[in-house]
Amino acid sequence: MRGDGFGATLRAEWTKLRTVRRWVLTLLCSGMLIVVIGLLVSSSSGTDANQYQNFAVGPDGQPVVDDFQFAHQTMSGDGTITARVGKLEDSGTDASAGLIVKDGLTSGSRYVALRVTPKDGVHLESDYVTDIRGGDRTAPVWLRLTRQGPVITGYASADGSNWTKVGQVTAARLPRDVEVGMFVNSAPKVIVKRSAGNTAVTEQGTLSTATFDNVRLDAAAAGAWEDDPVHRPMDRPKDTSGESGSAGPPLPEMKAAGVVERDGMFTITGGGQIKPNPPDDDVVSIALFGVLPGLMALAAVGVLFVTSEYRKGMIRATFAANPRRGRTLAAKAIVIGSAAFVMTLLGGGVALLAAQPVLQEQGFAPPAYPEYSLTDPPVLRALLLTSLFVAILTVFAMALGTVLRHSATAITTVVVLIVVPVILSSILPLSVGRWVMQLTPAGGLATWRAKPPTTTLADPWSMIGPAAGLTVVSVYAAVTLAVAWWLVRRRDA
Amino acid sequence: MQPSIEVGAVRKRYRSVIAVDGLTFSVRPGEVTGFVGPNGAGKSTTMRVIMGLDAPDEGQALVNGMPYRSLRQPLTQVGALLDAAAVHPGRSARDHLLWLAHSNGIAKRRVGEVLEMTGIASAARRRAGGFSLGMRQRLGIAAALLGDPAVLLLDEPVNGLDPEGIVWIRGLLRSLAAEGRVVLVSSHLMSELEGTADHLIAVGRGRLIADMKVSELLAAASKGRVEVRTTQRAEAMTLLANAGGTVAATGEDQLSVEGLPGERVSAVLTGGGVPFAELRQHRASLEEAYMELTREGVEFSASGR
Repeated sequence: MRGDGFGATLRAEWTKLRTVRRWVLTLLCSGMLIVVIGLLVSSSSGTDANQYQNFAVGPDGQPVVDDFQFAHQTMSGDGTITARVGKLEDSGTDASAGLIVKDGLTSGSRYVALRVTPKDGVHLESDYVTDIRGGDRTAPVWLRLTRQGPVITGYASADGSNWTKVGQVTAARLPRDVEVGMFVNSAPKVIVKRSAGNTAVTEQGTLSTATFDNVRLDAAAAGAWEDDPVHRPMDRPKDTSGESGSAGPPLPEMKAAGVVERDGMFTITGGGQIKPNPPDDDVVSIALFGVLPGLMALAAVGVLFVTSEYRKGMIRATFAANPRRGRTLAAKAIVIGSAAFVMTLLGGGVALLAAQPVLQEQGFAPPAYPEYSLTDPPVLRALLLTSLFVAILTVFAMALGTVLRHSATAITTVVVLIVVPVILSSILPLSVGRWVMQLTPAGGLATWRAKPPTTTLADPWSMIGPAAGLTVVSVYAAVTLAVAWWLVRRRDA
Repeated sequence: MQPSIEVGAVRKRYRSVIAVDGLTFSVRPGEVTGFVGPNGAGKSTTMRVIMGLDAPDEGQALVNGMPYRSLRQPLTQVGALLDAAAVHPGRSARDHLLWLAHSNGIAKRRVGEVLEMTGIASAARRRAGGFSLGMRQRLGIAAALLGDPAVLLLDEPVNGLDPEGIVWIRGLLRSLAAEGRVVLVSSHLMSELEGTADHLIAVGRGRLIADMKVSELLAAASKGRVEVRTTQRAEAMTLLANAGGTVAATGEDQLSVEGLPGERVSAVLTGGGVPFAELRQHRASLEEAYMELTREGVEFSASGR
């Protein structure tokens, strides 16, 4: 069956693509466009995130937030702390109460924490990176944190006698003397206002209160509990309200943060969060910005790859050579999709490498923006998914060309479906804007972000995640391909 | 199995226009079959139906006993020139043939062979967009010959060829037929097929008008007419009409006589004392024969005749 299979059809379509010089040039140009525009946009972007830091610097030099109210004492070497979280107030944002072992009281230092949340179960976390979720329990709950050598193990229990292990972490770099104790915090409320393309983001501190009883520390020497906030150092006078990340003064009716102990019952009130805190701006999406013009060129080749055959009647030669028309369509999709994937991958990879020094010059430098490399999983994921998005979009363009059989109409449609949603969703209110991104192929631009989605940026592609973006463009491509497949088999050539 | 084309009761309409209206014929191997009819008679539509490109509303077309769409590696069984312009202008002749070869697993060396065979090897690396119509025809024929198929369909292959090209394609068609292939050649100009076609399928308004050997057609069109030259035209006409012939003046000193054999014409004129010269049997040209055939089949015939 040599020469009759799908391989032969693929080979024929690949030969068609590579033998029209204009198409090959356009493909190469799209790669260059990705690099050149990426550099241009990188060199015209800027940030002062390092001059006016609103983050603490974590143990690996990364930006973090590390704020909580802490009832603590020093523990030397091995030991176990046990406590029952009686009540935990749901502050409306992410509140947590739990046990923590920490390298001193400086915000941003190493730690291992076992915390319970009102809605998100129990977590064992360490050093802003590790997060082990252990069950759906919420207060009242017994918690236990045990340090034995480098290993710290977290347990949870409903009654204080039957314990289940939440998980364990190896904290080899924690010093011998650590601060151990109970903590409470509550994430600030983020308020995003958007009008006509301007996005205003304000943060308002919140507080949560939790009670701890049956507190027991089994260690070499147990002393008295001290009360301190762990807080990012700020230029202004020390904040006693426990607010964090807030620009404004505390609201007058707010209760005070702190620790109150009565008959072995600790009532702790605090605000803040413990987690990575990178700025929302994403250097990867800035470096990959050239993909936007690049994909227009690639989509145009995708359309022409099929409409040129209809214009010249060459489609008859194609279907005479292979009467199984669905296969020809599939071969065209694979060939043009692969070409678009490779060009985006190459262009994007070069753009990321070349843009890094330019971006650092513009302020996108450590600690706010750690240096990235192509092998960092989020960067690699962004590059691969962006290439996949462009490939799927190009296949969509090809399928649309097959349905419409008219170059200009098909190319215009693809461009409009990308550009108009981007403009609309950066003007429209947030919820509407997000829907626009979730319903149009432009949503696929979400793939070029290495950071999680956020609502705090004006960039429409930051509003949804890469999975949602890839899904919407895939649905467009799949539906259009199905229509094209049906038409191609049914229509006279 | 012998190669063949069979068209069975094919009907095809495009919106309100019936392009092919119940056409049935078959094409035999070993001879050049002319497929003739005026523009718009349905020749190209029929060819597209045979090639599986257009689906007939009724009936079916079979190539080598199978519908085209179920052929495997179809280019090795059927070669077609449907539209010489159907080449991407940015692609070289060689690359155009190359993707066709790849699509049917035809050896790459075949590309060079057909380029030589059609006389465009020297232009093989030039972009087809710069080709003259004649060169595009040659490229289209090269594409048809690529898979060395036993069945060939050529739609108006003579279009745009220079005189040398016309001589070449006639020889090519004859030799392809002599090799036992099925060769179906369409044309709206009968003269193009003169001396080339062995068999004729004539269509008009989507219907079959004639399906016969060229020799039979010519004989029928000649109708035993006799032509005669004489200086005394009027006398000769009277004499011959009286003898029972149907006489027409075809020139200043020329007559055409129907209904009387040559010897009788000679005897009548001699007996009447009318001098004459060049008494000969009329041989109709293919063009003439075809005009007779298609008179009622012409869709856009000139009025006033």
